[in-house]
Amino acid sequence: MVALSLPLIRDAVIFASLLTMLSTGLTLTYMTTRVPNFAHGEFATMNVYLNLALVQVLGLSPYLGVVPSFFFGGLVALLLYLAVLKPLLDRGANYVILMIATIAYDMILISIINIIADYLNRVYKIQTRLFQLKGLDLDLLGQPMIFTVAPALSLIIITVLYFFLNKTKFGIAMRAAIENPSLAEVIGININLTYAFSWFISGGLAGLAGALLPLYMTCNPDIGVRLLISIFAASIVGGLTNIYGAFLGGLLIGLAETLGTGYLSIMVGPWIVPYRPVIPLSLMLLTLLFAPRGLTGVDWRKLLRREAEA
Amino acid sequence: MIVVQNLNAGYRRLQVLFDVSASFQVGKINVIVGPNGSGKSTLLKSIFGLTSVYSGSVKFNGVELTGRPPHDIARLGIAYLPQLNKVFENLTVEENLLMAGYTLNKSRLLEKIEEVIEIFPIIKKYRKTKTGLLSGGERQMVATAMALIREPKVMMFDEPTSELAPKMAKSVLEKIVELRDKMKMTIILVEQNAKKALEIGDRSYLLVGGRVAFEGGCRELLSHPQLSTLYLGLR
Ligand SMILES: Nc1ncnc2c1ncn2[C@@H]1O[C@H](COP(=O)(O)OP(=O)(O)OP(=O)(O)O)[C@@H](O)[C@H]1O
Ligand SMILES: [Mg+2]
Repeated sequence: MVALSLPLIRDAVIFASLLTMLSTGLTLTYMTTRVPNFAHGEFATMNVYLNLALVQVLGLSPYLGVVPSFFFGGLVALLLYLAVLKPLLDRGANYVILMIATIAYDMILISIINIIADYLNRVYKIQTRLFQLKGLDLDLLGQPMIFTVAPALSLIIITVLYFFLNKTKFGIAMRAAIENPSLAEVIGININLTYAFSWFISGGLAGLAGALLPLYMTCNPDIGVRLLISIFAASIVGGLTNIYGAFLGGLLIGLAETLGTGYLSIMVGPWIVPYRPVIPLSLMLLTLLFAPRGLTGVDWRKLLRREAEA
Repeated sequence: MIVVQNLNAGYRRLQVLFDVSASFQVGKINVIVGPNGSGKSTLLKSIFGLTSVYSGSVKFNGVELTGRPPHDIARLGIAYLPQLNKVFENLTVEENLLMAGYTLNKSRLLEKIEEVIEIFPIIKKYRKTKTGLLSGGERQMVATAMALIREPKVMMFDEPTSELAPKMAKSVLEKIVELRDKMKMTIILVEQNAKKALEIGDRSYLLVGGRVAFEGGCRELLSHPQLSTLYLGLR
């Protein structure tokens, strides 16, 4: 058995925390609009580059960049909903059409990201491919600050989401609109507004994750696609229709992916590292095969009781 | 007053209503009866903008309703108690009631919630319970309470007494009479129990195959020699 090493645990905690911000957002828009959003990874990548520009061009602290990234991520997502998905929904498009539309939007965003990366590189002489900002992180108790900020932010976000969805009128209305859109309309809830808001929040959370990613890993214009595998795995393990499930799924996939790859590379050799996505993919497949409704769909109490009786 | 004129409506390509015209009288109980599948629920949904309207119009006090989103229609003072899926099962009873008064201000809403709890005392002990865990009849009470909270000018009920025990059904119908007499509310009532509904109602419409087969006073329909036996199962 290989001993737990601090850098590995640190990496796992940071990645798992950032992944929760992405998986809760993907799940939220799936719940409202019923579309698996393939552009979700790019909502984060856009803000990797927004924050890179803020840090390298304007000299801002990478942590200050999370604020504009939240709003920019929100707007990029809102645009997808208002300009593409809503008009399609009004015409009665089914979820396959919607899904293809998100893939198209994803491709457009990837092109834009590459253009931005080239532009920043040429005009400002910033390294925009295979770069990271770890060197700019602050120190907190002898550790990089991201080790504290990422999990703290992740916990704050899920708590705020809980209060929003359960204690505010608009949040309860969003749950109502998710469960029964036509009844929600009948009692005066503008479901289009609640859906649009869910896209803004979803994109905003992805923006937060994106802004912080370069403090943790090497970034490139194509990381959105790689992230998407982990995001989908996290949401599916979480049951796809439960925010808290998505949060747990994010933690689980994030930890499993990082720790698993870390241990395997120590045990069998570093050649295994590029195969990292196999871990989230297999966890996703196992969930689909054996617990299709995810972690939160399993009746744990019944299962435990049966175990106890056996 | 709600006036429906030459309405053709349905669900995307499936037309259900054919050239339906009706005018629902202010401060009266307007009863809609007809066999299963004749389009009663579809007519109510069409008034509320929940179907595809191909042609014709629906006017509320002169304001055209077709083409408006339902949440707008709700704000004009029309409430609708659907026949199916009439409560939010994942929300607690209290959250359902809060949502029902979405368009009211907070203090008025809390007052109204106390009022409906007096009518349906059973709600009180389920306030924090997920509505999906209640029995059919209990859900019906929550749904009726939700409709009453909104203090609408027009109240459309789609089979409000289905799933209720006879005693509770009777008191819901009494409540509807009271809404007309005390609150001067305009009621549109779809009922499976045609006889009971026609006894408390003023004006009546008989829908058959998506068309209006009879329009007139409730007494008139009740005592109609052919229609009452043919479509309402009364002798
Ligand atoms: N959401 C829907 N999508 C497609 N068709 C529908 C839908 N709802 C109802 N229909 C069809 O429209 C027709 C009329 O249905 P409607 O519910 O208006 O009848 P109804 O008079 O209310 O009947 P009941 O007394 O059984 O409630 C039926 O043939 C039904 O199959
Ligand atoms: Mg019906």
